[in-house]
Amino acid sequence: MSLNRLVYILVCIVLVGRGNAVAQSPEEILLKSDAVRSPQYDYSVKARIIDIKPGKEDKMALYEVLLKGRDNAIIKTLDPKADRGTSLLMLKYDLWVFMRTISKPLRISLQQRLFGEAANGDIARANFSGDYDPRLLEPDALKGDPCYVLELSAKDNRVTYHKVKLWVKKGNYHPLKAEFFAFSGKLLKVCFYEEFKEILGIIRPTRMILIDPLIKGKRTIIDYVDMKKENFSDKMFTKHHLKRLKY
Amino acid sequence: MTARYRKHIFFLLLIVAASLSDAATIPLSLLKSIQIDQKNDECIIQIEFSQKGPAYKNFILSDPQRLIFDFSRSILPETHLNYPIDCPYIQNIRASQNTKESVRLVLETMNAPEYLIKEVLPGKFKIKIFGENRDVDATYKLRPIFTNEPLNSTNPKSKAITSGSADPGSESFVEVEKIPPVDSTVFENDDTSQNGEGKKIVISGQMRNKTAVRISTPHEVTQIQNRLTLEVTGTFNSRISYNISGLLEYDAVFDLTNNYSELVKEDQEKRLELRDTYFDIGFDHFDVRIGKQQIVWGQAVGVFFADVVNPKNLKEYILPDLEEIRIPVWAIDLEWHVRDSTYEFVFIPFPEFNEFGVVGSEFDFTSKYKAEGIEQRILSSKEPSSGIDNSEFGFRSSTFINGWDTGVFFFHGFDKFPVNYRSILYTPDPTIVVTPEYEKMNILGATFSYELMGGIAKGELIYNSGKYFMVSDFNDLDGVVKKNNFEYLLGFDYTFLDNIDTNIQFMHSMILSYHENILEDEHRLFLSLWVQTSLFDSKLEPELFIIGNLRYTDCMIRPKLTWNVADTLRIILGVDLFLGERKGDFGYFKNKDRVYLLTTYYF
Repeated sequence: MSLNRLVYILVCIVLVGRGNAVAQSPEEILLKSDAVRSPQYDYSVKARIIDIKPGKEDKMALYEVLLKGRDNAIIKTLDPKADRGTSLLMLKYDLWVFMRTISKPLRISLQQRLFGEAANGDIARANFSGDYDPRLLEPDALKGDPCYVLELSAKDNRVTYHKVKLWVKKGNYHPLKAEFFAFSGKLLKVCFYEEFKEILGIIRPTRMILIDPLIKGKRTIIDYVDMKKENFSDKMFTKHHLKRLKY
Repeated sequence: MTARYRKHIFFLLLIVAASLSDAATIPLSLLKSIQIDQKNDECIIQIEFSQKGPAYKNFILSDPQRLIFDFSRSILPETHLNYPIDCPYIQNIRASQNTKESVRLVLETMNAPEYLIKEVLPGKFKIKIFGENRDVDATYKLRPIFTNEPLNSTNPKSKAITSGSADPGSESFVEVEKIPPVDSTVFENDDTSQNGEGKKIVISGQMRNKTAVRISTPHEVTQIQNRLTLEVTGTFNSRISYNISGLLEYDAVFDLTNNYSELVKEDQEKRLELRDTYFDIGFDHFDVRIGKQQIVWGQAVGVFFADVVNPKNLKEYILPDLEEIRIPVWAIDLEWHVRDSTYEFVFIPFPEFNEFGVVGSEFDFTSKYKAEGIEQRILSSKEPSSGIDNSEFGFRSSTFINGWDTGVFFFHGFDKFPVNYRSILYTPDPTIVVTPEYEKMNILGATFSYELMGGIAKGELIYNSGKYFMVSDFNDLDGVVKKNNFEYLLGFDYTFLDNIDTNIQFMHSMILSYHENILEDEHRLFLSLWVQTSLFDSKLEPELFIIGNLRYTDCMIRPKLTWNVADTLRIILGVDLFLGERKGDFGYFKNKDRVYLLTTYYF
């Protein structure tokens, strides 16, 4: 092979390689962003949720979230003490709640609100890629960082939000911001991902700030801590097991 | 290597370097505007750049006192800016190009005020200078002291946050930055790892007082009940855990009033009871619970339907929470999980039975079927002896598939209500003698739930084989007849406006092969409605439960208001009303309407 041809091939490799870095499919971008937000294996994490409303006292709650695969989650209420012992089980879009005052799991809908601006789906639905079909929009920048901007359309009408607009930082696929829309197109909430820290080998956001666009100053902050890799059995994610969860 | 090769390699390196440097180049931000506002002795300063978000550093210098803010990757449109301002703690604002790529903002102060800086939007910063009152939620109307472009810029980047705002000219400064990220110490009491080897013991419980006053005449205090509930949970290892719980109760109404007889006082004044106390042992596909426990089957809300395993404490009728009404039983509960199904076997060696208020208590059932005009004597109930012949067992199979949560079950055990065998003594005076005894029957049932139109549809079907019913025919030697009975419940849960939870249920019970001598109605039809919402950020939770007998148009209405005073304190004010004909299940208690206050402290 002549040297000129070798150079030509190497240049193409560099340019094509570089081109691949910016021309990824929206599905790949979303998957990588999901992997940053949340490990793709079983894990547990504790969450503190603070509900802020202007002029009112902040409200706080503590939860432990157990996740298995992409679709199964358990949310255990640790605080306030009056609600301690209440557990939620999510199997994709199906939800059960177990309360000590009832002693049996009750099936409820995904729309029922857990706490503040955070719906059950905000806390326990960790992957956009399972729930939404992505489409790439015009790139944008946030805080000086060039971002992919994805428009996510719900695959199932039971998903918490009909559409999501997601800003994903180029290069490291950090999710930075998301806007959540109802079926009517109304903007329901805006979410910022912050406090990136190394957890389980990857730099991940450990804070979500959910903002109500209609009420100034009203927001919910979800902080995650103590993320651990786990190996959960299938039986644990059944409604029958809710009564056996350890508190 | 020839010169020609070196040239090509250098060219390649240039391309690669260009690729990399493209990713690294970030344009500088231009200072667009500085705006301020003052309220009382506080002021707020907004600094806006053209794009992105320069990082900032801030520090204090003295002689003279000044606050310094350095914004990196930014440039000033002019050589420097200098503006005297009229804020109590800030005399002057200066801005200059500190380095080639950083802008310095200097606030000259008279003393060292407390301040906070926050990037509220990409490229937009706010500095708040606090006064003595430290009004964190004050709203401000900013006015420009410097601008490099029109103030009503339609920058789409900012619209996502402020769209829909009632007054875009004023904003609240929300101190999100002041909330530090959580660390593990917040959860230090929650070593709740499901797979852990921890032997941590967790003690929790509640103390409560329930005071009730009868609204119907005579108006009397009917309850001053004080209760302490304790629960201890712990794990031995990853497979074995335990739970011990009990309650201690004292009702002061018997000592403080003369509203009840000594018989009722003896029955209801004090209670010391072991509640859910068991071991949980987990294997890969099996779970076993051994001990005193509640085994709950069914989907119904607010009523017992497929809830056939545990007996009930009905001394306060069905007014307490279901978990309080159910009496835990000593049992072995084995569950086997296979893919989407769970198979359950329960064995209860020592059956227990419903408890009722004695004659003269507030919710006394005993005279409901009393014959008019004739003396009646009720003997103590004869409970079966302990023994394998008198044990109970049941099976349940549950499957969740394609959104359907279904279950079928079989239970062989005692009817928890006694069979009131009747005999008649004719001398010296005609007297009905009622001998309550317990009889076994078989129960076959099915349950389902399915998400439908954004709500949950649910149902329960129960077939009781060999249930005893009282008859009115005095020629019948024992006063009872054995029949089969079929019951079903259909219900729907829905949440309106994301905040109003509702449930409606229709229940039908029918005695098969019915004859007119049976005291109970052939068909019993009930309708229930439950509504709950939350107000003032869940500080208040009003709730209403209504259940009505469609045949006798009697009903029970239970409004209540829960006040979540604090995370550990809850107060409930409620009313229980019984309306309609005395022949009905609820109208029977129509002179027992009451209002109550329940205060619970959780620890």
